[in-house]
Amino acid sequence: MKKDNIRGPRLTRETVARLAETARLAFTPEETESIARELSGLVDYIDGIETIDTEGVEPTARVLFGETGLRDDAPARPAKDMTRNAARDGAFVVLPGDIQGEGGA
Amino acid sequence: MNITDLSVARLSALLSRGEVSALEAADAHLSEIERREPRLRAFITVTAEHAREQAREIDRRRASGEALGPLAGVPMALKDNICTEGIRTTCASRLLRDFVPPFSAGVAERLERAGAVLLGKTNMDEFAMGSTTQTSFFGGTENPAAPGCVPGGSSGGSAAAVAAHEAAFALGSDTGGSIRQPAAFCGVVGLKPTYGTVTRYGAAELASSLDQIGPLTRTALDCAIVTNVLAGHDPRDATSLVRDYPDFTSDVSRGVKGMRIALVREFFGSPFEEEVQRSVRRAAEVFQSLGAETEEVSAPILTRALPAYYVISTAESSGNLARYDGVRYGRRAENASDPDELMRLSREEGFGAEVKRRILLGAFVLDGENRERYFEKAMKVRTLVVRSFREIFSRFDLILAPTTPTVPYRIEERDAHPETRYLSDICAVPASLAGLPALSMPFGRDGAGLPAAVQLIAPAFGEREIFRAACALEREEGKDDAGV
Repeated sequence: MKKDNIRGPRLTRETVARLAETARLAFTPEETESIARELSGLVDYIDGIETIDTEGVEPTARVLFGETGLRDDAPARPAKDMTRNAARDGAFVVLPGDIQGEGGA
Repeated sequence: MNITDLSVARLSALLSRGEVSALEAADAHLSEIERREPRLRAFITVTAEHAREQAREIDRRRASGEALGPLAGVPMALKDNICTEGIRTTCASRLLRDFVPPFSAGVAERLERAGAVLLGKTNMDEFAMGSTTQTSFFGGTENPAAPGCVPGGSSGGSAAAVAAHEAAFALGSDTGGSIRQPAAFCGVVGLKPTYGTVTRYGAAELASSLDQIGPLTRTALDCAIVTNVLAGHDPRDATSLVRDYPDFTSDVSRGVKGMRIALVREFFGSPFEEEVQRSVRRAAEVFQSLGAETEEVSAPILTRALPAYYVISTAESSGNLARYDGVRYGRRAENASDPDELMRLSREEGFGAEVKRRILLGAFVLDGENRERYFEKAMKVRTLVVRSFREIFSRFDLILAPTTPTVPYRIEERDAHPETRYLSDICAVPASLAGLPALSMPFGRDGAGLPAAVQLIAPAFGEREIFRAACALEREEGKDDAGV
């Protein structure tokens, strides 16, 4: 696919490092370099959508073919069950750092 | 009679007449699992004791004369992104290797009520991102229908388990072909139902506007039988439609006389392998010989929509995967000194390379001005895809298409052709973007004996027309309802 004339934003090492920070992913400088290189190929590929004429076309976020319902505004299960997989201290979910508690990481 | 060779239809008939017990059915499949798993790796977790217990309970209830569900005693498997209470659900990720859900997914509840017996949880690409089932933290699955080849993905474990007769049927999830492509590669039937038909409550989300759960089976009739159990409203899934569904098996014997079937011109030629094109042409001839009308149409947007799919699916999944932070659940990194570091380290250690790549790509297409350039643009392309299908279905009942551009390729080749990997979803993605039902079924083999397949796409709620045509094609291929 030829697209020299529709060059989009480049995925630089700096961009990868910044996005990794916002996505809470950590990479070594070498990984950042190789990910920037690999993803640049994909970005070139998705740049292909630029060649499709969408003038005056409304966006579609999802396709629903009818009515959907809402569940009752009531707890389905005890909170104790639903937070079973979190590290807890009594009623609290425990995080590392200044506020420590039993079961913290 | 070998119990594991029976279709769901045959097996459930024998079970209901008491000619086979649920425990016998479970044991037969568990032995097959034991025999084949060391090589196949279709399962991440086998729940042998749980299965036997469920089976004994079914047998007990049958003996006492209770009315049982339509799948009572039929052994099946669930993709490991479908939550099962008390049974670990890993999404094939290191991050969730110890996650034991406190509740079951809506589809797991429905199957349990119907009496199906859970044999275990099947392998998949990590977080359903991939089309080879080789990115699993637990090791890749091999294709039982094409030894040495990938089973497709991401529901490759489910497809392989059904193809290898380890389970009578299995569920998978399909975001951009993740049920249909592995079904095609493993020589089984796989349906992505109409968006909103099957509840996704309790299934790990990948791209919420695309994800749909569906069955993998060895016959089209079985696929209709399982869809009957899966379809229905669930208020716990905000996209689940309030709707009554017909009996999906009602038209399976009707034949295709008078049906209007479209072939999309752009699904022929490069990059579609000769063998794939030949299967579709031959299926069209069979449909014609049975009294259907077939006609070629042009719909260029359908094959050009793949980049839009990558934009939408990575954007949505990068948001959905934000919840795996090592705080609420997921494997916690040790030695973190503050919450930020905990999240970063947990995600860094927990996610595999492909998942990280896609999270970053998703973040990129939503980043600042890129949002308009990629994400908004992709949603407009999606509108064009919806319109193109609407135009075709104003004149036709079904579209006949390839499922994948290639037959299965060897496991060691999976990284050799990145362009093949991107393109592998090209025929599956259009129906996903438009929310339409689509089924892949085996049809013929290539010169080397590898499974070939065709795809049937229908307008919304057109599953009965799909099953009608699929069963007609199976009969012509000489398959009986046992699938042999």
